[in-house]
Amino acid sequence: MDSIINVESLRFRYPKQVVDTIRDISFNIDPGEIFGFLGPSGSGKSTTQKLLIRLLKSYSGRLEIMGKEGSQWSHDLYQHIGVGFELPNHFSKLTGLENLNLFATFYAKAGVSSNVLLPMELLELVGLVEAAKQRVAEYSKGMKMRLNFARALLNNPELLFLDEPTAGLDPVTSRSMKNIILGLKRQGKTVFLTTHNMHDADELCDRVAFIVEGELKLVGVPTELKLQHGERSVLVKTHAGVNGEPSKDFEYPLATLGSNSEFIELIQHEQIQSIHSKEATLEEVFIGTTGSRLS
Amino acid sequence: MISAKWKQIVKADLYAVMREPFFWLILLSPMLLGVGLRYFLPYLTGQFQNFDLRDYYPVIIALSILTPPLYYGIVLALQVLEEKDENVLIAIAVTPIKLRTYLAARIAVYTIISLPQIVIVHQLIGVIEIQLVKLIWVAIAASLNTSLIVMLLAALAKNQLEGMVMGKGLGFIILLPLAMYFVPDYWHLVCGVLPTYWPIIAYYTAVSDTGSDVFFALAIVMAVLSQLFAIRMLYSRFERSLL
Repeated sequence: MDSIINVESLRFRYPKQVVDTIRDISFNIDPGEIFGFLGPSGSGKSTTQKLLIRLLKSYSGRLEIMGKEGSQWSHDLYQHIGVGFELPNHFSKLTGLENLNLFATFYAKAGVSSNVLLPMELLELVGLVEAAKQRVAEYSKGMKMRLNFARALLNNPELLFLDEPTAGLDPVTSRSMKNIILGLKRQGKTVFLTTHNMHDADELCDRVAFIVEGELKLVGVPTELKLQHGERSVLVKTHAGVNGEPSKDFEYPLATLGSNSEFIELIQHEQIQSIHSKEATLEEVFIGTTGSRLS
Repeated sequence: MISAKWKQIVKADLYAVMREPFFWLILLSPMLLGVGLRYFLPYLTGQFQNFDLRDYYPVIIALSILTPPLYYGIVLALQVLEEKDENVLIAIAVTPIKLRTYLAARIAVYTIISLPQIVIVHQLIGVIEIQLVKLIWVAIAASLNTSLIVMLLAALAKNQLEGMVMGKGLGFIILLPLAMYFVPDYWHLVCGVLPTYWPIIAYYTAVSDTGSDVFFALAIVMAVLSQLFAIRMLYSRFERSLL
């Protein structure tokens, strides 16, 4: 399968800087994949995204987007990709619907049938129908973020770049946005997700990449990474006894769990409060690999 | 035929202006100035006994006809700066429309609206006679001031607030070449570097009894070229300021 994004030995340095912001990074993204790009502030996440969406144009190394070298893409690239920025960016004097209507016309091509989605349907998708005719200046940050997201979907893109899509959202809206992202994956869309949020990355991403100080430290599948960096054991917690005996923790190796007579006896004769496998969290994997924290 | 894209851009600008009463006032003020001067200028001239204000009509009228491009430029520049503050220009930069095209379309609309206003304000005041053809050429040259002012503010101001402060200071750039009416010719060379100098000189030449057609034509060419050059330079700086 041809990668939708292929990055090899990518380097980038901002003008007037003495060191590279992006240092020799390589990764590829397959079609239909949700790829998480994780790193602390200033690690080079946004710069990499700016290079991929061609807001920054000078680089060394290879950067292929949909089979074509980045530098060979014209503005036509934006017919195929959608970008949801980290911070809200709208015409505040216009309503949500007017904003989408204006951007929708940018995708129209003379003489070509349009692939553009209907603004009202997108507003419905992100739960902003009621506020469609309200000026964006009156929107909350969460509403503006949902409008950001809706606008990124206007051209029904094959490849979507989302920067912190759940930042500033309440838990219910955040859940609904994550459901939409998973729905896009089911439609075969590819998502490049930049985030600080390990829970989002863990839940949404097929693969994650960790970037620190412009270097890519690790690329992998979240479940595999958590297993590799965790302990292959289970932790069993019993209930406190009726006579005031405290609850107790027991740990058993996963590999021999089925034949472990002590474990079998415990679950047969004790009241069990919880059983957890001791794989690492994605955050622990990140800290263990990079030596850095995300925030 | 105007495409849906351009209609939406113009419509969005129209909405933005309609929803900001301060903008209406700025956009209407050149016409109000024209009507005011039509009645006030002859009255004021009659009030002086030992001083003929008519000698200075070219300066007063030149200043008045520069108000449409100045004010239209400021209104559009403030909108562009607001869009810069709100990062919306970056959102446009990742759509198939080029940011340069988007801005050029809007600047073109404001420039085209300011152009006839220059002619109308001049004729409304109606105290100086000028060949209509020459007035139209002056209007074409002066209307480029709209683009220049938009780019000047958008490139140099960091935000809308700075833009408003700089907008007030822009009067100086316009007033300085007006002063050429009062100073010896060799001083003109100093002001020649200011793009606003040439439309004013073209106007002075057109209304002067001794002004030659060749010099008028040269001033118009210089006005167009110097302003286009300045706009190009400022756009590059503006684009760099976005990232």
